Amino acid sequence: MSDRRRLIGPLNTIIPNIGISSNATEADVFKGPSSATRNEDGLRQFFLKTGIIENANGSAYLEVGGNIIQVSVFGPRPIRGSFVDRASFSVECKFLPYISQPNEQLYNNTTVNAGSTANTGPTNANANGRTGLTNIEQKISSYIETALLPSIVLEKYPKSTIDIFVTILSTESSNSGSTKVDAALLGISNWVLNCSSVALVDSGIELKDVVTSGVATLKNDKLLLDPEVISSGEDNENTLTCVVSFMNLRNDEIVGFWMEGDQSKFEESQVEQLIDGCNNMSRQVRANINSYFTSTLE
Amino acid sequence: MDTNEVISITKPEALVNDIDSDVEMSDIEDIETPKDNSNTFKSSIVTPGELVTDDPIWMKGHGTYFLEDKTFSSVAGNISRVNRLLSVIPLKGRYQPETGDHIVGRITEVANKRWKVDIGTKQDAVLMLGSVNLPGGVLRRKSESDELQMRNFLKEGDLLNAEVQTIFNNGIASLHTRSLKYGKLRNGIFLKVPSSLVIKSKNHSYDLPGNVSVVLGVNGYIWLYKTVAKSNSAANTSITSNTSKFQASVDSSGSYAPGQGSISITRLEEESSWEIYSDKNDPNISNSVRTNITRYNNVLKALSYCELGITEQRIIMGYEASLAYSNIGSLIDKEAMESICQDIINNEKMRGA
Amino acid sequence: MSKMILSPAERSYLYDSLTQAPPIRPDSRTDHQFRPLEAKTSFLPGSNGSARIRLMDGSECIVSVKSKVVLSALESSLIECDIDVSGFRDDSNFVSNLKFYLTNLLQHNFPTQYLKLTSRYAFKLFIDCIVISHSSYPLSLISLTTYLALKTTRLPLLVSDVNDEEVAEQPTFSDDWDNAKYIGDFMKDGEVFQPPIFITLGVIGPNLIFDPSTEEEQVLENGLIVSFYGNKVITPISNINLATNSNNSNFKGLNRSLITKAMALGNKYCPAVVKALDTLIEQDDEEGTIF
Repeated sequence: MSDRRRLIGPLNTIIPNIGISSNATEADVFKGPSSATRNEDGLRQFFLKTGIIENANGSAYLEVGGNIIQVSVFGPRPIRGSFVDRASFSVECKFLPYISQPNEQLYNNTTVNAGSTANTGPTNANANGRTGLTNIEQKISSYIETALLPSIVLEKYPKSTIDIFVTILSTESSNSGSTKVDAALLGISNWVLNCSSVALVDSGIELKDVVTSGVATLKNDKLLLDPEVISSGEDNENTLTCVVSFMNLRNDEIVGFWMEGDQSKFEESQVEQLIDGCNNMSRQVRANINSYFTSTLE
Repeated sequence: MDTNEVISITKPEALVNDIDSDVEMSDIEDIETPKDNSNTFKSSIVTPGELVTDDPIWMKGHGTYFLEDKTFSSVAGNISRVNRLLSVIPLKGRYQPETGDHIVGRITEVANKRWKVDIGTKQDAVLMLGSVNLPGGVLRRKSESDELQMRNFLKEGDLLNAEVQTIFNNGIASLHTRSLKYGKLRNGIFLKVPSSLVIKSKNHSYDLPGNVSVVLGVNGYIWLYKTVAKSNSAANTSITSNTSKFQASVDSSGSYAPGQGSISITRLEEESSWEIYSDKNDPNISNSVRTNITRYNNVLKALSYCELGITEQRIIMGYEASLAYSNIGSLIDKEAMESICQDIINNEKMRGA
Repeated sequence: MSKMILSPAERSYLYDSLTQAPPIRPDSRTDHQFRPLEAKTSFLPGSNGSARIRLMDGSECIVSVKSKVVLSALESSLIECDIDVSGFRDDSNFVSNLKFYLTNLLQHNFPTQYLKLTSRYAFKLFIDCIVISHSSYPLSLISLTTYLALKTTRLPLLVSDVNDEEVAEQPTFSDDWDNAKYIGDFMKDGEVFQPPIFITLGVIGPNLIFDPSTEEEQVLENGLIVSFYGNKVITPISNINLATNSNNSNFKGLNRSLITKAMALGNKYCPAVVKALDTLIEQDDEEGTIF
């Protein structure tokens, strides 16, 4: 009989070959975002795989450009205590400790005093030995939670909880320079959402629709879907960026909306244009996800 | 556009600080000197720790404590003397339930054969499964299946009105809803006022002008709802139908059929029982009734803001005063609330004179 | 703040009332009406600017603005916000999100060029918000209080030379507090200093309701946060689940037309909010400061 006082690891564990070089070349290690090829629809190609984490009820892994995201879904799990007639739902999104978060000096109160001898380090204790989530992580978590909440049939799971854990393994904004625009943040939120939706489908939890998301930038009246964020030095004048999440099979209802950008030129028509762009992208992503799932069934 | 239509921002009222420090000092000295004549009390308002009397003849009641043959106050409030019982009634504080109080409460927990109900007391009140009317007749025993489906009758968050049946030794109130006027609340909105403002009277549920009714809980919990049309109420229909059945049976057979008429009271319970646990509102609540309910809501908030005792008459006078405000949105402003209360006070003076 | 649960009958009555045209709100407000506020400015003698806003239900927020002279090259931002909400941990999702919102708003919509003292030195503003008590989502309350605090912030007058490129010189300031200037005083003629604000809108049926109360939040289908600066609606704009600590079963997706409608309503009614805030500051000025 197994020792029940201990948490046993999964049966099919593999010990990694630590320290053995895979002879990786410089190009293999970091395929810059620019190397991501775009399809004719304007989106970058993305790599998707489900069911990679055995212990979770559902999981998904996504690579696009320089972003690598992994999502695991736990639940429905029973909760103790007072009675609730619907499942409670939570999302926790974390960046790996060595990943720089978009605009972190600004939002996470990590005052990096370059040149100053008094190096106090990050105040949120996020780099190592971090305590909770940083403000940026909390914000992305909230966006995902708000957007996915309407899609889950929570009333099917009374006295339960459904938890999503997102790990961001890599972002393309490796250079978190002095950029004021939060395009990188919107970009990563967009892909985290798409990946989380896939993981939810994988978990078998009942859904009203698969939420998918699009991100678009309007720069000098030119609409760009799924913008890459590499050039932090570029001027961001007259740029509007928007991430919108939809339930495309339920009248394109908007479940997530977040817009940032320069305010000097800002019309309702531009917002319409951005929403249209995001809807286009969301539909493309949805089509891809659908074909992924049908192909796994074959 | 008028700014006040969107937002009203006012300065906070200056704190009136008219306590003279010299007077205060001498007061304290006064208090600390024990009174020779213990039967006369210095003032009827006392603060915690203040000596009320040093005569051991008095029995110590609520709000007092006893130390070295002296009685001190443990709350800020008025001294009350009933025969030899000396107690201090707190000016402010939680609602203290008394048997017979008509209250409004909210279910907080479904427990073993009982519901826990928030009625604004220190500890949640209990409503025993045996103290409610259940479908299947008033007189039947509560079975195990009733216990299993308790959440179908009342669940967490549900509002009901009930009567305090008894107070247990530990101070917890036990409620009952064994009357058709008690039970689940529908067709309206809930608000709270301090329980000290609700003046106890024989009746705590009123029909008000504008097709609105109110359950004015003694505990300060209030339910405003659409008046149930008397002729359409379930209770009345069942009575009339039973009566007509009874008459029909008399007419057709020419003799009195036992059981037909005599079950009418049980039938009345039976037929209304499932309905009294329904969560469905009346589908036909007109906008004018809804608007009137918000008017009454604001009137009650105004009375609470101005710390006026709440009675049926004052609610109606407040409602009439509020009709002067055609822009109903302005009723939440402080000025409007004060003016409504002033109207009520003036009105009462005129009637009193 | 305890979890708020409404009974099914209350929920459906409230929902039906709020989806009427126009919506019938429980406190009889119109759809674009805020709850009345009580406000006071410049009452913290140790701060450069301060403000306090109180609602009738006891919700209250205090904001203090303090300044510090910094070497601008070393700072990633000249404004730093901190928010404290009683009853919530500083690293909770609730507080972190509020901090993110306010930082984000002020970062993109503040005339920081007027905080620059010399080519090397600048004022850095520390905005500390304390939410003493709240019932509904407090973001709008925090941002309106911040508006008042920033607008009444006074910074000491620089007396040393503005041009310090050649000579390394520490800035020095006038000793006389009467010479201190409001941020608006540094601005060019014709420009008005109006810090950005947030408003919260509740989405219910076809209606958008301003400044939803905590009861209303329980039945909303969605929520929108709209920013307003420079007399127009600006970014960030986002949707939000306002009933954060309840199990709102009405929450669902929103129609895209409501986003543009929210912008239009913001453009229409926010000038009145800003005007009311400015009027209060003028009245407070007339009374004279307490120090």
